[in-house]
Amino acid sequence: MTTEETAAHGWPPALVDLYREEWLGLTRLAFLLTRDRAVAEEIVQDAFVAARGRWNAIANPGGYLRTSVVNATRDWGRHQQVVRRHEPSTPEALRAATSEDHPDELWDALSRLDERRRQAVVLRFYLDLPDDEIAQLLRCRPGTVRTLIHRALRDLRREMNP
Amino acid sequence: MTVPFDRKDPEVEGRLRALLTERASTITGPPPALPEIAVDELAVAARPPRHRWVVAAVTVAAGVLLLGGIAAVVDDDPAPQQVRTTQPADALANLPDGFDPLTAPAVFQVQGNASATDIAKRYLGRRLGDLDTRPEDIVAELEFDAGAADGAIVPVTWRHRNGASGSGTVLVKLGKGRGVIAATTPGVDLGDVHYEQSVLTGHVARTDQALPGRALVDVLPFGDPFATFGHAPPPANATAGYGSTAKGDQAFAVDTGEMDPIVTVRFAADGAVRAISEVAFHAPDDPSNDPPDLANLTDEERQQVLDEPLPPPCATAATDLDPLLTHAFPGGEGTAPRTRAADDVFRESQGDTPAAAVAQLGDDLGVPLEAVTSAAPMDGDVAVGARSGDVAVLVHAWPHDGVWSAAEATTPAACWSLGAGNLTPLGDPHPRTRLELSTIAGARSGQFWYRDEDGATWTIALDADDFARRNIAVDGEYDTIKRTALVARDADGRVVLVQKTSRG
Repeated sequence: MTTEETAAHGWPPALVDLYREEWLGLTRLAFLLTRDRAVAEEIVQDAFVAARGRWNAIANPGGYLRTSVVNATRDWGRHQQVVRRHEPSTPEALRAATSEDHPDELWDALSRLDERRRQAVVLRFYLDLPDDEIAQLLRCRPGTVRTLIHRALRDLRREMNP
Repeated sequence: MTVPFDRKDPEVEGRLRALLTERASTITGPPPALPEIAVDELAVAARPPRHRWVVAAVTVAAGVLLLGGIAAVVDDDPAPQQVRTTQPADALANLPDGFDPLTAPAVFQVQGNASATDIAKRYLGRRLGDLDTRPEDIVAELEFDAGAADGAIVPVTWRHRNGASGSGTVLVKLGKGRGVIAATTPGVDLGDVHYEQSVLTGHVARTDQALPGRALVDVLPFGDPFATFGHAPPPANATAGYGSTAKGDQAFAVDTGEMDPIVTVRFAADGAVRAISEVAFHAPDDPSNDPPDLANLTDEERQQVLDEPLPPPCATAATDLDPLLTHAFPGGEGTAPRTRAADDVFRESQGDTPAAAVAQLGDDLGVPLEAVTSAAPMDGDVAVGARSGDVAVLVHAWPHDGVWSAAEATTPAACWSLGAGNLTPLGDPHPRTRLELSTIAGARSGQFWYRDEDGATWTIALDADDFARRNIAVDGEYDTIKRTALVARDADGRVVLVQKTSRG
């Protein structure tokens, strides 16, 4: 799909360029937050669709898209919590809640973290964002970010050293 | 530098970075095609719809389904003592509406493969009694009955052997993340406790007036279930969201912000906790976390949203010290005068009980420190709520080889600053480091200690200017400063802040 073609379909050329540049990074970020590739791709595409509708009003497209993706993964996570409430509490269901595709103790422990703690961990240790940027993304104070990360690391240590 | 609340763990952090990078690399390009959109849709805001009402309705429905019970039975209790009739649904009756044992976070976690009864014993050993009684001695006075399991949830009822000093039920979750997810007391109803936006509010109904002692209600941040204020009223400087105590039957309302809280109702008599109800909540998400609807804003408004400043940290302390906040960043001036400390304030303060270890920690820092109460978020370690005069101080204590050690003292009402950084280039022959100071309203003088990499402990006298500036410069490079401690006093010399960093 070329820039000219997509522009003809209603996409601003600059946004299409941004899509090409940012898609992989945003999708990887969404994947780490959702652990589901299909969902990650959908979230990222939705973010671009949303950005398209406001393109002329967005001063910092990269930051806006990243914020949208993080927020969308949170919405998705909320929905998953509701879904899980309807599932029977069987050992099979509990096992299904963790990743069987990529068996890894730390990955599974990460998936069981409180959602905000997991977000903070991914933003810190994958994107290497400083506290204040994570705080802006999570809409909290930098001190809260430090607390989230501290508790996440503590939880992970406990999960891995029973 | 070791800091208490953002401790570095190179091993876990390194594994995390490697894992996240490896997993992210499984996603490869190229990106899929963007969807075709008609040009006349360009003016339409394309934000994906959200269905909060659906989430709310399904949550309620889930709660109803839950109360109906689940048939599966899992009981790893190796030695059930008798046939029980208690069902999880009975134990749920006094818990908040919508309480979901399948998703409820544990208020007390246990590692290993302990049975439901053993988990309940460990929990009650930490929650009941007083700080001067060993957990095993507290539990020795109790009788336990593990009930029939509902899935991974096992209710364990307990009562004092003398039959007059309290009883209750502990809901234990087995399997991954095993621990206690709730505790209930007969005649104590938490059903009214609920969220109104970010405010956790409600009234703890007490129908059994024969319950021992008076009731104390604490709302505490999840993950830090410190029963800070113990059997005394909360201090004047208690901050919203960090803990609030309501007397007995009074309604309470605590803005927990984004922090998940734990509600604890304790019945105390003769200085000891006799019964307990406890449950954790998930704080509701803040709708302001959603992306701002920039399309409906003017350019100026949009920029304001994008540039929205975060709440200023430490507002109280900053306001208090505002006239002095014009001091320059410490850089040009020399380092603070220091002297070699005669006493090692960083040793492990020890005692036969948590209370004794806490008192020893106070002695080591030269301040009065009295343990008031405790809570144990994990099996083993104990969070001790203490007081130094009128100031609430939290202390981390843990047992080993029959001795209790205490460390990590913090003052919850204080504005914590744990930052630090080199003021000179690496390799400078006269390296200097900037250390940020914690502070609190009223701090006018104090003492700061730090330990260097050679194990020497140094102390620096602080004055009002230091607290106003919230920085001091010290000799040495950042990496050579291992631990810190701080005591601040007000103009009358009263202790207003106690801080000591982790075990290191």
